[in-house]
Amino acid sequence: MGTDRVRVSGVRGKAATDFLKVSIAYADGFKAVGTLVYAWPDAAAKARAAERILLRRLDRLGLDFDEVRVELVGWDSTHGHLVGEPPADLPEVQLRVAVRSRQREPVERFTREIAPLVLTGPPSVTGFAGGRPRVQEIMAFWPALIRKEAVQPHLTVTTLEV
Amino acid sequence: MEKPEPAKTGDVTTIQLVDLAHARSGDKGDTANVGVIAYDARDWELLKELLTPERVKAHFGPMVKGEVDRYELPTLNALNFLLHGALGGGGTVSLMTDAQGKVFSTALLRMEVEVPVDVARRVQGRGRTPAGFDPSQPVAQPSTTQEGVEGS
Repeated sequence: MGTDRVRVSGVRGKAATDFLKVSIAYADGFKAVGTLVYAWPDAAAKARAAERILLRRLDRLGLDFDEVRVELVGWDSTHGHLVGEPPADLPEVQLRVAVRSRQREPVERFTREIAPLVLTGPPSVTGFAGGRPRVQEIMAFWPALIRKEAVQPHLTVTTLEV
Repeated sequence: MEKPEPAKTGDVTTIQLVDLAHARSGDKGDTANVGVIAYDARDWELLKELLTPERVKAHFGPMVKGEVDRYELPTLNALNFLLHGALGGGGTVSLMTDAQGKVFSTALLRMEVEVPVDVARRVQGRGRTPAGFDPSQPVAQPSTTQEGVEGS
């Protein structure tokens, strides 16, 4: 239209709804992730053997998890079963075991099961210098709508002389 | 895994989607949002024919627990998929390395698709790093300079 002048047309609007958006964060249990790196030869086979030992151990301890997820980082962590079985000559692979529970205790117990795996599990393992995995509290996110009348807007302004 | 040899059956052959299209993805809660864009506008109709929601769901198998929705973006030669129940609960709850589904799209590019032989020949290797590419060297910049933009 000219300098600092534009034309905007065809704009339409709608009446406001009866709702406000509310972003709710809520405590939703605990999780921890333990990792170990296995080196060639037979890196993936060692990682799988370690997985088997660890899962049996967790089972024997009678720990109650909502979910246990095992990934081989460097092989299947992003493409899952689509990549098939890893080759025997894989140079290295990271075993990544993650657990989640409503309770803190089983997750806490899990973090103490990684070191024994280093000492008594498959050899040529490294990547544990960081110590035990940390237990994380899960703050889950729930984007929701709330009726406007349920919210009372209130604003207080205080002026302080300093 | 080795790339399978194209198996000829009549005038069609099997290629991987990676040569036909590129893709990007992300998360919205437990839903992976996967965009697939044809490299060449000529392959847009073919892409629509190949990537039905049913085939996409079958490709992922247990990786996608819910339904698959497809949206068409014809002016971009693109398809957008919503893969429900794909991110282990999503966000902070998920135990996945790729909890935000940032590379979920690359798993779709593995899909094997049947295409006409002439298409396969034209797109061969399109989605992969060219032979001889040296990642330690800077990529050559186009020599043309845009009006009003300083050339480097």
